[in-house]
Amino acid sequence: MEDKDLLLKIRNPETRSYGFNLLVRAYQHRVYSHVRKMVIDHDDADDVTQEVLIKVYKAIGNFREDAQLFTWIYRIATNECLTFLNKKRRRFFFPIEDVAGQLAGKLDATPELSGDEIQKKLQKALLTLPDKQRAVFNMKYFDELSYEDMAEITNTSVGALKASYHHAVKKIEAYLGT
Amino acid sequence: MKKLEDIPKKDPFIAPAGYFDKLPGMVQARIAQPKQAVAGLSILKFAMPVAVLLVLGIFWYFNSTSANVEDKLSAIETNQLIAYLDTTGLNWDDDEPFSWQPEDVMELENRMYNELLEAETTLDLSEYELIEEEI
Repeated sequence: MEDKDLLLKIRNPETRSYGFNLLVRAYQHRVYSHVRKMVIDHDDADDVTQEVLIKVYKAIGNFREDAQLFTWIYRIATNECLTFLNKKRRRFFFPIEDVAGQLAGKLDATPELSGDEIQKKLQKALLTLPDKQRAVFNMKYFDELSYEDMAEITNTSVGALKASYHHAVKKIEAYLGT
Repeated sequence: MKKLEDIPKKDPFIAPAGYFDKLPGMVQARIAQPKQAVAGLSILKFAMPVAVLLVLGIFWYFNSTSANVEDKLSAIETNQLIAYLDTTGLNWDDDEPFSWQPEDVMELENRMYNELLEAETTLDLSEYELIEEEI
């Protein structure tokens, strides 16, 4: 089903619940995958994903169709991840390195990564990046979004995003070489 | 240095089996039942600053009042204080705290009665004279 049809169903009070259920089913994999790469732990990713989808439900009335639905959802998801990581830092008075250390510990305990040392090392290299740069890298490298879509999601210029991604790649390759 | 292109690109994280079958139901359930605690928290969010301001205000008021009295007392010369206490007849060296005795009350009542009597006898009677003339 196309986004336009989904939105029609959501905007109709009689089919709102059904339409939103379809939206969740259409976007849940992408939202979870994006969130999970940012927060690493499945339980945290589950909490954040649910928060994202609830925010989408509450704010869908304000969604203007001049933007794409998926970039709008990605934007909410990215903001929610950054907020979650900032809260984690404030709550436990962790400096950046300690949160990264905690996330790296969770990587070691992730069963999907056991035995795949190169993927684990790549993920650890990503944890050396600031959160926003990590989000930019994930969207470009893993999700293969265009810079234009990323600019809409992050409210940043295409040039700044290209520079951010380029620097991220350099840092990651330097880490992989150690 | 190892290149990023040398690493096979894949999503390294996999959700637990059946997670995406349950997620829509979990989200729908949360939308249908908004958290009760949120309402309580929002009330607390407004009540807390008011309570803190109230406590601070009371503390400031009592602190400034007692400081004011102390300031005024400290501004009076010791000699003036002693002279005032001498005129009131209070004993400077009494160990016991001052308290009213029945005879003190009676004396005070007598004084007030006498003063009222004096006041009545010295009333200006010119008004009464005027009334008599009119009659």
